[in-house]
Amino acid sequence: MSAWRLFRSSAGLEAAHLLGNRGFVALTALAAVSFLAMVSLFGLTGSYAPVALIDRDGGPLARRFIEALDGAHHSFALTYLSEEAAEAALGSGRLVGIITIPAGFSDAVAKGTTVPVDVRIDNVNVDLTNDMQRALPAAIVAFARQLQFPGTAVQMVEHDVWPRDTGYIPYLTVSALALDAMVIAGILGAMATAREWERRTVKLLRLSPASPAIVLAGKLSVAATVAAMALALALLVIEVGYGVVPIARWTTAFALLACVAIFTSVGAWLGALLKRTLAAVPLLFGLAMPFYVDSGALEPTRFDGDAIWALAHLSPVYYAVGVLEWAFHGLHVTPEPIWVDLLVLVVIAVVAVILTLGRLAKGATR
Amino acid sequence: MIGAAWGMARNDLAVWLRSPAAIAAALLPALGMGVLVAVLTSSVGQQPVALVVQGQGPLAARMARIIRGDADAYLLEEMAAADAERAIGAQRVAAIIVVPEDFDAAAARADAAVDLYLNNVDIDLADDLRRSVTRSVAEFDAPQLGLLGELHGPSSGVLLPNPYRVAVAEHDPRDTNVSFLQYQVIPIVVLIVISVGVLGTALLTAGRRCCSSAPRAAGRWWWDACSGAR
Repeated sequence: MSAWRLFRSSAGLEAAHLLGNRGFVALTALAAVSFLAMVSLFGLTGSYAPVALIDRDGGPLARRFIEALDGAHHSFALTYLSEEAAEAALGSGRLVGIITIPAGFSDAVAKGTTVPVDVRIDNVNVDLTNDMQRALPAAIVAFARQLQFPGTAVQMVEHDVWPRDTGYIPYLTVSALALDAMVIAGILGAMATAREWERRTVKLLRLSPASPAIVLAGKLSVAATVAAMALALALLVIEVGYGVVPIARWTTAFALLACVAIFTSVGAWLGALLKRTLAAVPLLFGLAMPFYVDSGALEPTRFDGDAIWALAHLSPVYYAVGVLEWAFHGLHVTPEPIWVDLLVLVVIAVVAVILTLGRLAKGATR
Repeated sequence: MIGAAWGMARNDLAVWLRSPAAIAAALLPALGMGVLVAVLTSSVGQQPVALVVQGQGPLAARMARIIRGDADAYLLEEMAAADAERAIGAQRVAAIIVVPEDFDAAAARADAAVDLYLNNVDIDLADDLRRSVTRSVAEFDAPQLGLLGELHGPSSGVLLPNPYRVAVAEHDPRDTNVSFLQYQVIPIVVLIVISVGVLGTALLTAGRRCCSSAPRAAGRWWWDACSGAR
């Protein structure tokens, strides 16, 4: 039998299996989108704390101060509430804090008097409290700079490494794509090989004169295609739903396809190693969160210290996030060059394919 | 009646304790969640920052002291300018704060600058550092804009005039000071309770299919069968 015919037959068989499991494939695609929703929750906690504003002054300088609060580095989502409503909302956990601008604020500030602004923070944990405490002086400084108050001797001058800021949700959605690639391509790859043991067809494969490499290539090409379609759905949601568009479309598409191919190979090895879909699938889901969190998904892992950064190198998602953040946003989030990240992923894929073929090969013991 | 229920509970506990896979399946995800939260705590807390103090005068020293004093905001490491540049290039630090050589002379002219070289890779990290450095710099001219001033200044009736003309009187409704990690311990404990409860119950009810007639037969036979005596 020609290699091409063998490849097509193997791919056709795998496609038939997946068509027989349409529900599972649909749920896998749904998982891709649900991961996006999950990481968006991380993004929503990082900025725009809901804060009630009580303006007892109503004057022009109070309005300028409110503008400064609004522009204080994405810190506050201000809501105008009455005192009673604000108290009730703070008490019920719907607000992080209440800022009260006192009566006479505008007149006093115009005369050069220092006015205390009353702030109540729901100090439920240190992280939340610190964010509020640090944001208030930033707003006060911006307010004074806009109005050019005299008497300040020092100011901060910022020089950014990147020409523009990347929003937290746009940053996180790209790392979610890496997570999607690992879980979905990994599971479909694992199913493709584990099925050979579950249906006891591995013996036939070993006895057959057909090349196991071509059979595996046929099976994995279908698994990778389905995974790529699920990722395309996730990418569509990112572009249309979140409005996050890659700066380099073709590079992003290539990087995503490379991640799909690589994680399908890794999944195939896990399936061949564990021989049961029911073991491989929970393992991949179980590995997903630790690999994801320690992968530079939330910020470059190098900033988290030597130990966490060293551990991150065990996670293939670390390299995938490095490649995808570069392709999508033009960011370097790993100290290693992008080509090294890509090379490591390719080496992982090649080793996974060799190990999988070893399990499927004629000489394998079980 | 109570005796039967007690016997059933003891039996189920014995079955569950003899299933290491069930125990692992219930506890490992929660423990993994604990590790995840510990990593998250490190991500959401302080950021590594290099401090380069080039000015030699007393005002530069005061500025550096204020920045060093804000230990909650930064994981600060003092270095020479060249080392700091290498560190930000290798992502060992997220930012460099530079107190420049002419700081004292410029401050005397009311024209001093503290330079922040920032790896603004995402706004979560970048905004944290912008807020922190702005507060440190503001403290130079307005000491009450620092954390101690916010907590114990105007809110305790002590208001010092400052050139920004606004101060913060902070009143916190709670006396506690719970860290992010401590705060997350409770959801992890809840997760353990849910995992153990759901998985344990599922295992025990699914396992009982083998002896589904047991409630009818009741008595000693069922106990022996399920506990392995028969």
